[in-house]
Amino acid sequence: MRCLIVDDESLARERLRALLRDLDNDYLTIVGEAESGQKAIPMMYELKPDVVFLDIHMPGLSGFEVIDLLAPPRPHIVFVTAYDEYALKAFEVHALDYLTKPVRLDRLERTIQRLTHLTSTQHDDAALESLRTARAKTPLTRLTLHAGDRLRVVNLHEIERMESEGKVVHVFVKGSQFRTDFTMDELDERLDNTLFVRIHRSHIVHVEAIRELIPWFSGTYCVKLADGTQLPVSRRRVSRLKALLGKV
Amino acid sequence: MPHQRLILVLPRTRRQWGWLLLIIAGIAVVAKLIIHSISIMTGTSASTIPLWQGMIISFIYSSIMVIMQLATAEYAEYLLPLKNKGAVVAHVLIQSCSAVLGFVVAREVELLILGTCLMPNGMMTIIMGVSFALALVGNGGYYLYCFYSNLRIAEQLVVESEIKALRAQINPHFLFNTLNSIAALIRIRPDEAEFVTQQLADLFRYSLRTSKQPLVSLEEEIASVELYLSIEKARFRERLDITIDVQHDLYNLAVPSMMLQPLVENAIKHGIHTTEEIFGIHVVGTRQGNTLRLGVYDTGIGFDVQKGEAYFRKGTGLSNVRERLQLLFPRGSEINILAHGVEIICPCTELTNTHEQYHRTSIHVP
Repeated sequence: MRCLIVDDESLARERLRALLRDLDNDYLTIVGEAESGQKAIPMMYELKPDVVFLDIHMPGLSGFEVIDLLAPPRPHIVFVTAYDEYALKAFEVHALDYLTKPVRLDRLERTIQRLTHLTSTQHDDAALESLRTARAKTPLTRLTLHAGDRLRVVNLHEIERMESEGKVVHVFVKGSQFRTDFTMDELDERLDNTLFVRIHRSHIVHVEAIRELIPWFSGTYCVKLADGTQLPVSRRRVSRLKALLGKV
Repeated sequence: MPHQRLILVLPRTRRQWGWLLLIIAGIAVVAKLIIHSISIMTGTSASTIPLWQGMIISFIYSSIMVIMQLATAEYAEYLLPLKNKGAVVAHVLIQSCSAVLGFVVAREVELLILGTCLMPNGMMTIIMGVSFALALVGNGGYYLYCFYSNLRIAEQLVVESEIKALRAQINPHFLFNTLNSIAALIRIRPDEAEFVTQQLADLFRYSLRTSKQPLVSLEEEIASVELYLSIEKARFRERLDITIDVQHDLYNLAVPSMMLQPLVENAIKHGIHTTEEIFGIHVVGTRQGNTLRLGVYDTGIGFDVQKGEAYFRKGTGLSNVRERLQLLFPRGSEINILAHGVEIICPCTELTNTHEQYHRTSIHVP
């Protein structure tokens, strides 16, 4: 079983590593350690761990936000928390496993045993999915993009716009474009709607990237962006866009 | 601070005056009708004058008396705020005298207008006595109600500020993470584990002791920050660089308890991960005339000064510090967000000797 440890404190990572070693289980290997959510996401993508020990309370990207950005196939997630059990309980995801700090060896052993006995059909993906659903109303703060065969985590303010082409969604960051696993509808729902505006079925634009709103024919409009790109605005989305730009 | 105003005052706006006149008219009609029926029953001369004329006279009496009640109530509150039971008694007596005085003034006005008094002297004395008694009972009830309401509000405020003070204590995340660090250290650096345990115990003791003590000496605050930082230092090791610059002659100044620690915690929480290099924290205290300036600066990403207020979102460490600062020093205190730190300004007040004996306990920082 391949394990990844994610915690911002080196002593906490050190302790978990020592405890995993103490279990003396030949099937366990620690494939990596990450000190932040930003670093953990590409590592999960590349190292394909079976289980991730994920601290919830981390600066930058919290454990929950890591879950938001998790691309399938998802590893087993074991939350490690100092004082966030209440947050897990708030989501009523009892099925998800969590360890409290300081982590106890016997408790860790139980978790590992449970995970070992889970067959692939019993993967606790459902619990993870219900956590993701529960968080559907919380705006995303970062986005994951495919850069070559790596996965990149970008800040939202770096993003200019998003465009769908069939089922593929491209994200434009400083002139380059990257593929993301999020769908247009997911993005529309999860992005802060004062920052990003859906102007068309296949276009979402960062409000600050918009330079001009140009009247087109028969009551439609198109927007001109800072880099000169012109994009169509759907008729039914015009009023919302005008209201948003009026405020800016 | 929220303060509910319950005391009677004169109207402030034209609209309020309008309502007051309507109320006075109502009182005048009721009073006249009562007096009129009494007069008819007893067959006195007041019943002989036309009702409308009596109404006008009644209106004059009512308006003078009501306005005088309001004016004396406002002035009495200004002279002697309703803070204890003595003040309640004083207010009620003043209001009762004001009622009688209002009656006498109204009578003079009536004499001036009509040249005579419609009401027989006997009736006059009875009404005067009745007004005095009514004012006594009415105002007595009213002021006692106000007094107890104010008391309840004040108690609520005290409880709230106590809760806030408690909330400003050790962050549970910090506690559990430190325990986790200690568990890790026991295996790899047992001496350090022992040291961190002692420091945590001292910090916790300080936090418990000061939870009911709003002001402490700057010396104690600095000592507790040193405790806190020594624990963080065990976790972050050489990545954390700490300097504390506070002149010893400032050590006896009074500052809110557990005020610096949230600022330092905030700096570490948001700053240490923003730099790959050594993260420096600089705590500085200076005195300028009669103000004490305390700053917590760091070498991390810093603050976006433009965002200002956004950093004081409810429930954050910063908003908590600001609220307590305002509660303890309503005048002359401020908290400012700078590009590379937070500054607190508060008036210089020495802890008195009695305070000191009570407040001062030893904190040892090796």
